[in-house]
Amino acid sequence: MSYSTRVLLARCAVLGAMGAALEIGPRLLGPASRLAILPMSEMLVGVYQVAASGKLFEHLLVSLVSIAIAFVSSTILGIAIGYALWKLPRVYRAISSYLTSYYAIPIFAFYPVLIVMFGANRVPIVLIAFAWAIVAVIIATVEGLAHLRPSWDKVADAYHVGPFRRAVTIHLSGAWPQIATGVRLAVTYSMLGVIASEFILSDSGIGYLVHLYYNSFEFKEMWGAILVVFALGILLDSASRFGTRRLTASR
Amino acid sequence: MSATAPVAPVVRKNGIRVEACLTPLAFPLLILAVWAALASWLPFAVASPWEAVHAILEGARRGWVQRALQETLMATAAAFVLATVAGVGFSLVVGLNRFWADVWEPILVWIYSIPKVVLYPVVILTFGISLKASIAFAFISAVFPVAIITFGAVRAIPPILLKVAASYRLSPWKVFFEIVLPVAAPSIATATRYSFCLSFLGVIVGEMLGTRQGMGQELFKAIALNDIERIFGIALVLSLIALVINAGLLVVERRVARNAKRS
Repeated sequence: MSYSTRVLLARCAVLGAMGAALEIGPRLLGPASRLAILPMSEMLVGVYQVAASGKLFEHLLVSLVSIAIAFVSSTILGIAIGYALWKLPRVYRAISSYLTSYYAIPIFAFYPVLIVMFGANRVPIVLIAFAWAIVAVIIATVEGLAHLRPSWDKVADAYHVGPFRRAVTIHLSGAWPQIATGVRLAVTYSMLGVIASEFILSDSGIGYLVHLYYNSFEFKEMWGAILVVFALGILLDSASRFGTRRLTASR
Repeated sequence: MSATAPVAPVVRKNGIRVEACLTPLAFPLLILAVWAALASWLPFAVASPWEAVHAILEGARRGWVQRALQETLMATAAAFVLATVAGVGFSLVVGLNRFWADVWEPILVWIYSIPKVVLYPVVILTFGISLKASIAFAFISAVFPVAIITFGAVRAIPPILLKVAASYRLSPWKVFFEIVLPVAAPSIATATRYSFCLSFLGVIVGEMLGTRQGMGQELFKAIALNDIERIFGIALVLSLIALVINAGLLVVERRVARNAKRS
């Protein structure tokens, strides 16, 4: 048996053991634990019930649209700002240490601030996700651009490449491996920002749905919605890995 | 993500010292100016910086700020220690074995990409509305990133070092303290800083979702009361605390990285 097959088998065994623990554990703990955790099989029934109730897709769509808006805007603006900062080293020097410390700020403390400013609607949710995602893209872009080879610019000079084409085909394309890391983080942060905000306070979205079922003590449905959120997280993360890798390969 | 992205070399001239002192202040001053301008433009939605500071000073006089801060910081400290020890410990033990490291790495990444905030009801149902619930929730938000960062560091240890250690028949403890720990130290320092930031964020989010005390809970009460000054004041205090502690940990992190490079 080859090494990779053994790794794969062991991984399946670990995941299987986790699944089995989730199935058997709650049954062993007895009915008192049912308030907190359900056997795996009942959670899966919960997924079906949530899907059958018709609420799931409506809320999932709302979340996905918000995630997409936050992700696309933070990626485009983040790359543009990163590029501008690279062109303006004095400005970059003034803010670089703040960029490093940015993720220390407890961003959700500003969710109420945004609710006060924009009202309790989708705007604060998208803004929180956007604000959380964009700085990762900015940092990754500046870092990637800082490692460009000067000779590439000289070739561009020799061929009289214009500034816009140069930015896209030489600078950003050259910095793409690092930018890709930032873009992948932007996917994760957009998703976490949207779902956490929905969960804290909102009236729509998949994060809100979990909170709704929790408040009405519908634990089977709650676990169903939680499993959907988990699947969404893993799917979006895998998709962003696959997407950025394809783009890196096609460069 | 390091802060040391190279920029154009600074030209040394007489004004350099003044610039070096003023540059770090420029950004906070800009933020303050924009904030003040927004406050005067939208007085019903944005509290001015002075109003925010006043709300906090008033709260400190009445005592709720200290009580809430104590609760939040205690929960953060406990979650920080637990998440750092568990995350670093797991990665050091599992990461050193190539086979189990290959088995676990994608599993850790999958768990990391899951928005764990939706597990809050489960935490509450398990621990009740208590300090323990805040700690547990912060722990699950911090432990996986810490484990992943340390995992990367342990896997990056050059195999030749471990082979040399094996040929000298060093004891596992010696290998750990003389090879693994010194090589992985910079990443462990980074992981420690992340652990603090994520524990703090986790505690605040947990408190916003429902506890009896803490700054996150005060924030949530302030939304209910529509007390704008207090909302801005709490957000300001929490950010400043996070930035100061993060700066301290960043100093440690850079020193560890410098020492590691030297040895």
